[in-house]
Amino acid sequence: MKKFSLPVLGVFTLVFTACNGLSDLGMPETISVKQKASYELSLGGSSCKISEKFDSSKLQNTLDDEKEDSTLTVYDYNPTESDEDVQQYILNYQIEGIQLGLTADSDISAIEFGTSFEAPDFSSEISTNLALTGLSFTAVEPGTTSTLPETSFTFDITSPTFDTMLIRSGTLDVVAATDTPSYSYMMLAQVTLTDASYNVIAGPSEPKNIAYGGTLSIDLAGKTLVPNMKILVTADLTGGNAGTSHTFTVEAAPNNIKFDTIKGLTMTASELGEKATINIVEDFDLAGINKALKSATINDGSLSFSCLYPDGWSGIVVEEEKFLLYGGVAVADSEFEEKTDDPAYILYEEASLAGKTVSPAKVYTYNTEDATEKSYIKFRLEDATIVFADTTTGSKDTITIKGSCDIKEIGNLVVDVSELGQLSGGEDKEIDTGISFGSLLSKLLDNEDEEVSKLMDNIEFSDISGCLLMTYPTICSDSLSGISFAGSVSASYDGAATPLELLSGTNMTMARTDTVLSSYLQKEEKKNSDGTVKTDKNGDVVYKEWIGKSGAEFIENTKSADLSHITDLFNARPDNLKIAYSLALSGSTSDVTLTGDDVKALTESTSAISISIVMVLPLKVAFVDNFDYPSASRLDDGFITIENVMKLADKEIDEDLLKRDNADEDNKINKYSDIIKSVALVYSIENSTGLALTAYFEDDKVFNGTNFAPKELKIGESNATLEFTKEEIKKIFSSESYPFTPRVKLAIKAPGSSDPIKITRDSDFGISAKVFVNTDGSAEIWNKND
Amino acid sequence: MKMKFCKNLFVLSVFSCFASSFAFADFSAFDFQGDLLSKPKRYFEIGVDADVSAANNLLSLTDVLKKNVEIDLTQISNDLSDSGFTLAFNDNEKVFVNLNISNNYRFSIFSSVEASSSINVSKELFKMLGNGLNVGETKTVDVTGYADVYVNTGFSFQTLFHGYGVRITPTYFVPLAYVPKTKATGRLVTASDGSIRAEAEADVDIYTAVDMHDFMEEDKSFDSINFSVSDLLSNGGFDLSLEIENNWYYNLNAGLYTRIPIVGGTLNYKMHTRFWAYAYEDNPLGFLDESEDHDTDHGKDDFVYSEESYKVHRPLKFGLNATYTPFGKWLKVMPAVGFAIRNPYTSADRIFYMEYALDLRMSLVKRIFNFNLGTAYQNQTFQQRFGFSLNLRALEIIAQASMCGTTFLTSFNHNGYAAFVGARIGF
Repeated sequence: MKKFSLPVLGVFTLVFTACNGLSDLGMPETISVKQKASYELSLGGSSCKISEKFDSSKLQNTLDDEKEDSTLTVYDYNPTESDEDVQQYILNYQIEGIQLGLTADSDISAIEFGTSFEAPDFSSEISTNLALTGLSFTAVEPGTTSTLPETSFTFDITSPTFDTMLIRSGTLDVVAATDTPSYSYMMLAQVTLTDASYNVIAGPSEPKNIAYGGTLSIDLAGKTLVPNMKILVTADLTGGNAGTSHTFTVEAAPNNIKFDTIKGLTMTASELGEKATINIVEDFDLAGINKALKSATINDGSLSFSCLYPDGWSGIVVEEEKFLLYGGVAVADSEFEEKTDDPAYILYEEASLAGKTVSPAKVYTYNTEDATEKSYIKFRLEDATIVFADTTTGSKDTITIKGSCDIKEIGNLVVDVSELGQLSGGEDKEIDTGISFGSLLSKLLDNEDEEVSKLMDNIEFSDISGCLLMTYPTICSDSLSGISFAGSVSASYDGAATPLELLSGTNMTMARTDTVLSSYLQKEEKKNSDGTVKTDKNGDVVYKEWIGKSGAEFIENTKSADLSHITDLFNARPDNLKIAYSLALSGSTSDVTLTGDDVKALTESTSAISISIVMVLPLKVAFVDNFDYPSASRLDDGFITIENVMKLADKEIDEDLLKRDNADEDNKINKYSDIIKSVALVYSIENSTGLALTAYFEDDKVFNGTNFAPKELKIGESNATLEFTKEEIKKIFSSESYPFTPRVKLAIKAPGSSDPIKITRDSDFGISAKVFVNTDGSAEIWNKND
Repeated sequence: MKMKFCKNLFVLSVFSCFASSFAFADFSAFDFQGDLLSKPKRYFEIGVDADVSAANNLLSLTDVLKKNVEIDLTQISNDLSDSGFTLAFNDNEKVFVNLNISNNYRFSIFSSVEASSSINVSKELFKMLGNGLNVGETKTVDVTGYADVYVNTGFSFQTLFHGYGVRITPTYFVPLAYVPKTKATGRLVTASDGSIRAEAEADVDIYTAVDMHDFMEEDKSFDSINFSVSDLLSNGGFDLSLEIENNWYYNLNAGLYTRIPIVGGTLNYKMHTRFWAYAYEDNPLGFLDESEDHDTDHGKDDFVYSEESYKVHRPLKFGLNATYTPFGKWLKVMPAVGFAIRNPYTSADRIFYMEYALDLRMSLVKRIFNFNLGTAYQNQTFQQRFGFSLNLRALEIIAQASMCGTTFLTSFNHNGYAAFVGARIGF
């Protein structure tokens, strides 16, 4: 047996090992996961720099949305060029911009005027010469049958002189008359129009019995007539008493003739009659000259009249012409000279304007005091080609006479100071700025909640200043040196009993500069928090722009006067703010004469007199506990309480953070809480805004023990911890907490208007956090009874 | 088409049956059983063997087949070896005919279908699940695997030569499908700036003996697979096994064995696809100032089919085995040790591993009742095995069960099982 012991022991050992534990085998009824682990994740961070959150471009966009065509420009303002100083903005509202040069709407050098005349209808004059009278022939009754012997009449058109006439439509009617023939006599006749060599031009007419007389018509449509033609008469004769003769008298006349083209036409002015004269009786404005312009002396320029042939025409000879201008510019007939032999023109006359004076009055082509003194053209036709329009299509032959003005150099320009711009003395103007403080904050925060804007009532501004900034081109400083202005500026808004006077004065002087505020903008690349250059979604570098120290000096040196009550205006938080002003320019003379060089420079530089209201708005603000957010839960406790900061920023958590569809789902979610030992948020909240803040992280439901107690967020403390115990986690996962939509409650200390704070350019509010999840437990993930 | 496929399969099976196998694999389908100097049990026999195993090194049967299953992620992370989680599968089905005329003339013809696969997940995944994660860490998880299916056929000749038992076995094998060593990598990176990035990608090449395009892209039925047996067989490979054994002492026989791949089998069709996924979250708190960004997506590229030849070989093997009869012929102690190289001629896919076996075989009551008790590491799987056979001369039935594991320790812990059954009929 000994020799069997080892292998038997081995077999026993293996079988025992193999079967060990197998007796407990069974189908699983539950499956759970057990874990003891620690997970750490960074949630990153978010930083909100006040200078970026409320940067000038965002303010600008918000104000532009308020009013599309607003002339309000917002600049970031950093007069000390230090980020440690208070954040400031410049609001530059241009209320007037007056162009002085001859550009855009005041360009008299491009004046054109013109008039069109219907071309003379020569057809009636020509038609009168196409009639034929005093002709006759004899026909004898045959008794049986016979034909009329060859009979023709000469048909010459002797006047007007022409080569060919192409007829568009109409007939030549031949009328034959005679005495009474025998009873049975018939004469079936036709007429044909031929040239002198009997080549057929038109016809023959339809056969017709003219034994008793009648009219034979030859259709001339599309036929070309020549000066010397013949009318050929043919006829078949039957019946009657043989030998009885009859004399026929014949007349030919055109019927409703419409000409297409006449070539080689020659007609004198007297033959043409009244149609030979085209009177030019017109008046026109010197368009575009603003009413501030009194007059302009022209050094170099010309004015021309031109008249082009209509298409296909030729041979019009001007016998007489007279051109004269009265009114805004006066030019005598003698000053016009023919300037071209171009056959495309009937005429081209030009007069020099050098030394002429142009004023913004109406220009006439006739003497308004003597109607006989007028511009006209008198002409004749010589071997002309006239193409007649097809009047059946509504088209007409027109002859257009154009006048144009080409001013190359202005000698001087006299401007009426009192008419400059719309600054007429005593005239009130009002500009609707489109600004409503009631909606400004909500738009800046991208939150349409009306309650948001009420928070503005908790803010009182300090030290806002304003002035009128008036600039004009230094190019013509000598000419404008004597100008000053007088008047007042006031503001009105909804609910204001009386307008708030911002400025009033006389003999206020104007700064002399041709620069504008925007030219003092400085520009630099924006940086991310890690120091890298900030780029937009397209990868383009994002820049920030501000007006620095030199801009401040510019304002100081050029401002005309300080505005008063401007801080009061902002603290009134006006809605529908309107600026009214009544300003007048004045000076030692009523007229300002600009030299030609001035005008040229002004025209090239597009400079203008500009008047702006400039306001400097520092973020030096006091907080007053007037409203909480939402206002319904307001407590007069010296704190501005914002129940849900994320809602204020329109980033409210409004769905269950645990993604549960309903409260019943908590059983599935809640079991996972068994595995969680604790959750901790290690965070750092930085606040350098100067605001005294207290914050709490809490469930949005009132704390009643079924949810977790509000937890204070320590602002300004580095690596503070917000910890949730296992019990708190279970509460969050429970059905009572559904939906779990936590919020951050913020309280801002509001000591009142006596204690304003300065929000500096580098102040920011930021948060960074890491989350630690510690697990130590078991969670059932499957149960066969589920 | 279905009929055609079945017909082709039948022809292949008949061909394989006529090829047959040799019958030395008493208690497993392992090719090199040794014991060449023992007398054969029958002059003529026909037999079949089926050997299937599956094992892993993570979960045992007793872990998952109990009333309350608890998956302790932390414990798993601590217990798992550095090699990670491995799941292996092997299958070998054989039919054979043996003709043992005398000790000098023993012939066998055989045919088999052989499949194996393995997948490994690196430990980093389990460390992350079981121990957690810290900011700034980068976790890289690799998933590697391979798979192959062969049809083998061959014959062997065994004889005595100057007292040495010698067996030569040329084998012709036809690869049906082959997935070379494939690696998928997943990476999770967290940073203190609040960025979390995860990405994973796997390029998968599958080589097949037949064009799978129509099957995969159209009706998914075998009717759509068109192939001919002759084409399939023409792409086969060839290797040669050699065993030699001598009696070194009155109760100790020992020898060498080797399998040398000579001609690689060819797979002419390739399917390629890529699995990918990514997710990132940048600065979660950035939702306050609109600097937060996130995205996630995943997918699989369409399969790309191509005609591309790929050569594969069965593993090269070399080792030493012995038969020791300390108490007479009723008990044999059969140790073996050697090494194997998968894909020996393809450097990128080459896998080297050692193999061993130690079996105690008892034959009782005139060899009617036979038992086997053994331990082995073969085909990259550890086995602790116990087998029994009933040999009635004309009929022999063999059954063996094994506990398996991809590590030695887990092979005692019900982490996997293998079953072997065989039957022989002869005289």
